[in-house]
Amino acid sequence: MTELNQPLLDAPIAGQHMVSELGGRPWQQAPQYTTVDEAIEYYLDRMSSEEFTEQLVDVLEMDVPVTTLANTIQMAGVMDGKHSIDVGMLVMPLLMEMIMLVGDMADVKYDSGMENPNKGKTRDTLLESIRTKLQREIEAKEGLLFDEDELESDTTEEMKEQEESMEEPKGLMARRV
Amino acid sequence: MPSFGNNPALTLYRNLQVEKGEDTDVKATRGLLARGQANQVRKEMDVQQPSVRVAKHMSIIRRKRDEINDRA
Repeated sequence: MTELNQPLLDAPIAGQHMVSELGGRPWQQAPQYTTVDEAIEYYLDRMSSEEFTEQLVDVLEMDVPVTTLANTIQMAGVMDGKHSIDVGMLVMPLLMEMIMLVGDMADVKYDSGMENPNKGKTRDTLLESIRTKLQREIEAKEGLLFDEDELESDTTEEMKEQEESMEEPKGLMARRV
Repeated sequence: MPSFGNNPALTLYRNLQVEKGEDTDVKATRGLLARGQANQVRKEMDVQQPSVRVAKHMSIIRRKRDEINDRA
């Protein structure tokens, strides 16, 4: 599963921030754990519980990347008012390591999310640049085949020839050009 | 560095790998009144930085993981 293909089902509804007064949400209050150490302790306690571990293993088996899980867990912490976003960012690598530890302990083949999902795929931008280059080359070749100056000189020569080949009128009443 | 969407986890993880460095052993002092080297060691390890503290925690977990993977 790639992160880009995930549906954003938990995205806020437009205007949702206006439906409750300021400070009415946990993340608008002062965070419960203000330091990295407190947050680490909180997560280590939570993640070492059997219930959490079992659920985590189930999710890992579903091929959900570790990076996504870590991000979701820390974001939930921010939403619950446990810690600030800054602390969440600092703690995230540790969460990843913990999740991978749980995965290793349960002997689960998990997706770490560190491999580029687009690896081996041809970039759209590359294809577009090649297409443009080819287009230019074709245009340049066509220009060589039917050079405008050449075409112009050809047509004028042809016209001259035509004029020359035109016979002068011979009759008495014929108009002279 | 690729971020694969808007998830910063990968970038943060890789950046912390750089900061992790090597583990420093803290030697125990002999007595209660002995001049402690803990502060000095702490300074050397730069543990005042939260990211370094996280990296230290990470290295411990990483070691556990390596042990598990080596056993398997």
